[in-house]
Amino acid sequence: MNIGKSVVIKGELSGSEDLTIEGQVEGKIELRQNLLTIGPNAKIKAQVFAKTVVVEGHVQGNITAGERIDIRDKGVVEGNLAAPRVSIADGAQFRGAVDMQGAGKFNEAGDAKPSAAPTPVTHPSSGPTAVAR
Amino acid sequence: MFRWGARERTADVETPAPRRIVETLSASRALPKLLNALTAHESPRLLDLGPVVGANVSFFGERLSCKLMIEDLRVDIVKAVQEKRLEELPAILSDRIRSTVPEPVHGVLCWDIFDVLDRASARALAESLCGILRPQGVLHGLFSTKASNDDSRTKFIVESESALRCRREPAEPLPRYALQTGEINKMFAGLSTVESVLLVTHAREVLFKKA
Repeated sequence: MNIGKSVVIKGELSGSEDLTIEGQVEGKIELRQNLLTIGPNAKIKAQVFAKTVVVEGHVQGNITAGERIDIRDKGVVEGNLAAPRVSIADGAQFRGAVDMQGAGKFNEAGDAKPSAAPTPVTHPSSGPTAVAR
Repeated sequence: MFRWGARERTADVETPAPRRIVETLSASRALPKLLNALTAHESPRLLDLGPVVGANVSFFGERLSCKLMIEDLRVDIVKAVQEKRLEELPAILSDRIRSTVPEPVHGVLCWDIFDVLDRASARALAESLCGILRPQGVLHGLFSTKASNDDSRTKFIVESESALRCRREPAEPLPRYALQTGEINKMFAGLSTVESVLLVTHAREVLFKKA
């Protein structure tokens, strides 16, 4: 399923199939058994829960994933990440805390609130991502 | 008349040379000890003063199953320098550490942050970091031995349990300060030195531990 560029959602978004967001969402996103892709045009201001989260756009809020969070090179995240596997590509911007002890360890408010704008990420190679196995 | 071979190049308009990224691989004696100290704790909490390096996030997360808080202080330093508010920097840094770290941590990764701090700011940051370390907590830092005024920064990328890749790349220009070993030890007077070694890049790598 795809939420297009012109769509603005305020409130809670949940579902049981893979979802790609290109628009704006404010509130909460829950796809606990599915893949959520936050596209390059998306602007998310929400707490995000999914099985796997791929970030190519802008997210302000905590992200919790049961399996993996993947911030791609154009992705921007201001918030905390909780997942067993986290990968942050060179060029991505991130500010917050990373918890790889397992998913769901952050409380809803996040206990290490990011305090300023995110900063670019460096990776030794110019490859797309560094995957924590 | 014909001319053979490549056409002779005419004088080009002078273009600035692309700024180079220089990488050096250094063996690290402190890194294995840092990992050893942190693995003694279940789910350690670690503060990383930036820059955010994806490979380091993966490395520490995977090896230690830790919670990693990332706070790139360079952003504050650049802002203070640009706005000529250097005298406020010690307080800005102390506040930032206090607000980022809600409870004491098992480890701190300083990377090269002390290279771009004047003495007063460096002392204030060191004091704040000593304060947020738990007993038996460890602090890893790299300190330049040469002062300069250039527009590059060094990023340290953990290559393995005992090697660091030092990557010099373009950045906002900031004065780089050099600290003598005695000054470093004095700043972290509340901590004991576990390891202090000069890397091939001429940065001093130091591991401190809180009693």
